[in-house]
This record gives sequence, structure tokens and C-alpha cells, in this order.
Amino acid sequence: MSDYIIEMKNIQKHYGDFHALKDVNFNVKKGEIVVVCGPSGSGKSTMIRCINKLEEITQGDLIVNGKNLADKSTDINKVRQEAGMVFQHFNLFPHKTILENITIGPIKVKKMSKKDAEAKAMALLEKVKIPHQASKHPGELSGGQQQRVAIARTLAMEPDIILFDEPTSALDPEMIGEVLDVMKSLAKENYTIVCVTHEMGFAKEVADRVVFMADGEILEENTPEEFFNNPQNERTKQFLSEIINH
Amino acid sequence: MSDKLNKYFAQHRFLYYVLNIALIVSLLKLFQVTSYPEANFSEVLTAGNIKFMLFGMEDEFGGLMLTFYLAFVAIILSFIFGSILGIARWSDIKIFKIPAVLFIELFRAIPHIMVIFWVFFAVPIFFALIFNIKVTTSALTSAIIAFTLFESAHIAEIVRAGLNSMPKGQFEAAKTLGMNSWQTFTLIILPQAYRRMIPPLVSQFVSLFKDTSLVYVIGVVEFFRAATIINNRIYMSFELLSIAAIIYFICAFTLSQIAGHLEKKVEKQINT
Amino acid sequence: MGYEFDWTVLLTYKQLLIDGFVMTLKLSIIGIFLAFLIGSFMGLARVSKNFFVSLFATYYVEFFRNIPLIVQMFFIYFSFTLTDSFPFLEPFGDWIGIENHNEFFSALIALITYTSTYIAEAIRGGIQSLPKGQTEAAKTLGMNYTQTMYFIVFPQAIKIVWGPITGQFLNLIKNSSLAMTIGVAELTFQTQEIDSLTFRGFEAATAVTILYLFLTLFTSYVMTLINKYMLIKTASKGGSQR
Repeated sequence: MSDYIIEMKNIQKHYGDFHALKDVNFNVKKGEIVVVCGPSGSGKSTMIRCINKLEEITQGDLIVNGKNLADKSTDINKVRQEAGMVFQHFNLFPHKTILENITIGPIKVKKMSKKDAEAKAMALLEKVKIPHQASKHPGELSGGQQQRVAIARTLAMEPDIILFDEPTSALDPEMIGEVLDVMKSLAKENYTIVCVTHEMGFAKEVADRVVFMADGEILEENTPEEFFNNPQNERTKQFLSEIINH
Repeated sequence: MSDKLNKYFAQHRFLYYVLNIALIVSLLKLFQVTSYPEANFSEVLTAGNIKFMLFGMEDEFGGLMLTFYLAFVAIILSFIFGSILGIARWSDIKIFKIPAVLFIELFRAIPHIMVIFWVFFAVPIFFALIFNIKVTTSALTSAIIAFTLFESAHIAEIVRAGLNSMPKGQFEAAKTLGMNSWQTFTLIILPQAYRRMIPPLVSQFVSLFKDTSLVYVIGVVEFFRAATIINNRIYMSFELLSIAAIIYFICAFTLSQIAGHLEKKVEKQINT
Repeated sequence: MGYEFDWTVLLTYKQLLIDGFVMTLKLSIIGIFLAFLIGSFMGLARVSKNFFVSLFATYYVEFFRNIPLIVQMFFIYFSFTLTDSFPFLEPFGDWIGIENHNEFFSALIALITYTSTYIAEAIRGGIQSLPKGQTEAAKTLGMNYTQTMYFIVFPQAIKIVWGPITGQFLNLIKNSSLAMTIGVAELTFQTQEIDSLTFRGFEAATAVTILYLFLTLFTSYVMTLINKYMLIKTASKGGSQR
């Protein structure tokens, strides 16, 4: 048994003829905080979506929390409870209230009682600083608030791993901060976090490791200091210079 | 597995079409063998009967030919009338809009066979009342009038929806080029709107084709009536109605497959 | 030559109109209910990941949609004696006050099969128009296929296509008029009845038209109310917590 909570060995992923992930090797230790960055189409979203099997790999070994995803006997729903995901477009359920959005997973999947689930949900809403929105519907909230609800919804399932797929890319600039604050506070707790993002400030502040991907391959990975101050790969240097010039 | 099959069939549409028809016919055959083993199709499918179902009576126009004729004439008339109605319904000019709304809502709320009865029975009465003339319309003419009335109501709604789906930017662009309403409509809006309307319009045509069977009630000898007339003579309803069902299925299914094909071709010309 | 209107025949024969209206109601209410159930099932089956389930549903829809309703009614009525094949229809028919069981149930079954195909297609459209993110979010919470469909996809799909579904219910009510061709004494049948008794077809047709208008408008109204109620229900459910 390795002490890696996520193990990706020689991962290949094809969409028809398009080779989206080329021999990707990516391992994450328990409690580690990894930021994945890179240009559009680099495969970073694809890679993270393979971890909870929203995308299926063509070849390779994928082991999440000790369970091999290719194994027929693996209960994928269980794996997904352990590896929660926060989406770029929030994906809250518009026909349910905020409270129901957060409690539906615990009640229906984890078979928690309604009372317990709701108490927990309210505590989580306190944590993301919007307890007064509990009875509203997602459509009534701002983007930043919706994303915080999405994070609370994921936390309600008590995952070991949290996957963030460009959580702030769809937000207006003034709302990015409130979501990043929540993510930073999560970084201080025991969660393993894999975050695809363009927010380099976040990476510098909390990441244990930064991974750079382009054209379906991992080109460089290092600690934040080394990554930002001492990039080795040409492509990395090019990417960083383009980001900073904005 | 189903994705690969879907892809294969998308490229080999004719094969898909033939396979479907074969499958439906085999299912019916299977059904017949299990629940009605004594069915005798060869007795029913004599040359005389087939001729009757396809072409109707000796010196008259009838049968399946009449079915197609009725459908085509009705769709053309109701397309013209329905377009006018639809534009009137969509416009904001009260004197066009309100009569259009009343007409459309009325003919969408009444069952189709009631409209057929109305036209067949009421038109002579109407003329007798207002103009004091004795008018007899043939069943076929009544049928065409009735179809035009209710189909144009449906087409008007399709036209209205199509016009509503046009992005406002198109109207604005035409305006900024200095076009007047007529030019905007005929050169920019209608060509695009009608391309969007092709799918619902064709499905309305298929619907109309199936509705031709309704004129049974006023005695028009189109395909369905022809089949029932034979049935009244030889009392082999299972066989005759199965044949009727299969023929209608093949025709309607073919029309909707053609529709799908047209849809694909026009897809690129629509901007959403 | 003129035509003398005689509207009093409607009063004399009002029982016929009432009987016809009730018969139309019976066909419509049972028809709508079962067509919706079967249509929902077929719509869900159409989008199933299981190849054979979706194939079955596809053929069901294509088969019953392309054959005209009147042909279906005739086929069932003339080819089978329903009360022999399904004996439970006899007591059921008595319970809802039907005399001619075979005619009624032939018409009803045809109405249901025909309308369910359109409802199935509407629901399939609703399900497919739902953004993929909804099912992805449900998956990431660990919901299985059934839970995702039941709690997240189907409720939203129904709301999206409530308009078209209402349209199909109205179509069923109008199509119930075809039952007269196999002898069911519903509203349109009564037009002919009154006409044959009094030669006042115009008045009869007017009355029947008004009754159909009333029925369709009322149904539209009820469907709009249900739509509003569905929204209100989801909004207040959250407020009653704590």
C-alpha cells in the first residue's frame, strides 16, 4: 500500500483520434495541495475529471483512495463520495433550495437523517459565510455565492479529496476573492486538494506543489517557489510570462 | 455499443431505413402468427383489391393516390394561408394580430373531425342562409377546405415561433443598413426564419398525411376508406387493417426520415 | 331558401350532450393519466444507457406514432374482442359506467398508445436539453443512475417541457373525437345523433364546439396552475426548515 491517495500511472486518454492525455504520471499524497495549470486544451481538466471517472481513461492505472477505477468490482459511487468535485459552472440544482442542494447528497446517498443533514448543512453555510441564504434558490444568488454553496455541497459528503475544476474562471473579478478565501481555509484542514486554476496567487500562497501541463503532458512540477522563480521548461517559461503580463 | 451503432447508421441512412421497415414488418408478422394464426393475406391482396386501395374506384380518383393528392394540396394551401396568419399573429399591429389570434386559437381548440363535419354540413347552410343559394360541395372539396382551415392554424403557430426565434440583432442590422420593413422581411428575416422552421413544418406535413385518414367520416374514398370498404365486403379486418397500418407506417416513416435528412443539410445555414 | 335556426333542440336533447360530454371526459381523464405514465416511461427508456431498452422504446415510439390514430382504433376494435382477452375490463368498465366496453376500451387504448409516443418524445427532449453539468454534479455526490434521474433530471425535464406536454393532453382531448367512428357515444358522435334526429346539425355542432373549447381552455388553465404550484412548492419547502 503506497501512501499516495491518488495514483495515475501511464495514463492515456483518447477522444476518437484526439490524444488528450499522453502518458500522464501523477501522484498525490494524502493531505497534499496540488495546483495544476497550463494553457487551454492542455488536458488539465480532462485529467482531473478522470480521477472521479467523469471521463474514462483509454489506458493506464488509476488508483484513488486505494481503489483501482478499472476494476469491475469498484463501486464508483463510493469513490465519488470520497473525491468531491467543484465545477467551473457550479452546477447547483436550480429546482432545489440552497439547503436542499447541500442536504440531498447526505440524505439520499449517505442515508443520513434529515435533521442531522440539515444541522450539518447550516454549519457548512456558516463556514462559507452565507447562512441566511438557506431557503433561497440558486438563481437568486450571485456567482460567488453559488460557488460557495457548491463547495459546501461537496464538503457535506465528507470527502477525503476535493477536486476543483477552474472554480473561479466563470466568476466576475470582484467575486473571485470570496471563493479563494474559502478554498484557502480548506487548505489549512486535512483535505487532499487538486485544483485546476489560473489563479497563481492562490498557488503561491497555499500549494505544496504546482504542476504545469501542455498538449496532454505534464511538462514540469515543483514547489511553488521553484516553479515561479526558477522554471526549467521553455514552455513553462512562456506560459508564466504570458500570465504575468496580464 | 450503441454509440458505435448510432455513428454507423448516421452514415448509412438508407440501410437504417430499410432495416427499420423490415423490423417493423417482421414484428407485425410475429404478432400475427402468435395471436391470429388464421390470417390469410393472399385472399385479401388480390389485384383488384390492390388497385382499389391504390387508385380508388373505376372512373374516380381515389385510394392512396388521393391520399397523397389531398395531403399535398392541403399543405400548399395551408402553408400560404398559415404564413400570412403567422406573420399577422407575430406582428404588433392590432388589426392584424387580433383576428389572427382568434382564428388560430379557435381552430387549434376544435377537434379536426369536427372541423371536417362543420365544413361539409355547415357550408351549404351558410350559403343558403346568407346568400340564399343552394350550394353543394363535394366531399373532397370540403375536406380540402377543412384541412386548410385547421392546418394553417398549426402552421401559423410554427411561423410565429420561427419569427420569435430570430435574434433581434438581425432586425437591427437590417435597419442600420437603411432597409424598410418589407425589404427586411423578404431579404433577411423570412429566408432565415423559414430555414429554422423546416423541421416542425415537415413534421406538421407528416401529421397532415396521417390526418387524411379522417376524411373517412365524410365518405371521401382515400386509402383508409378504401380499405374499410373492402372490409365491409369480405370481413377480413385483421388483414386489411394490418396492411393499412403498414402502408401508413412506411409512408409516414419515410417522410420523417426525409425530414431528418433535410434538417441535416440546412443545419449549417442556421445561426443560433 | 334560408335556414331556420332552432336552438331549442339543444334543450330538448341536452341529455345527449351531457352524456357525450361525460364520455369525452372519461376517455380524456383516463387517457391523459395513462398516456403520461407510459410516455414518461418510454421517454426515460429512450435515453437509457442500455442498448436494448432504448431500442425498444425507439421502436415503440416510431411504431405508434406513424400509424394514424383512426387506423389504430379500427385495428384494435375489429381484430379483437377486448373483454375476452382482458376479462378485468368488464368490471372496470361497469364501475366507470360504460355500456359498450369493447368500443370504449379500443378507443382508449389507441388514444393512449398514440399520445404516449408524443409525450415520450417531449420528455426525451426535456431530458436531453438539461445541461450535462447537472448529471455530473449528481454523479460527484455519489448518486447512482436511478437517484440522478428521479431527483435531479426528471423533475427539471418535466418543468422544461410542461408546455408541450400540455399541448399533448389537449391533443388527446381533441383526438377522443375519433372514438365516434367505432361507435363510442362521445361529444362528436352526439352532433351526428342530434342532427339525424332533428336536422339541426348546425346548432348541435355549435354547442359541441363550445363544449370542446371549454374543455380545452379549462385543461390549459389547470395545467398552468399546476405549473405555478410546482414552483411554489419547491420555493416554500426550504423555508419551513430550522
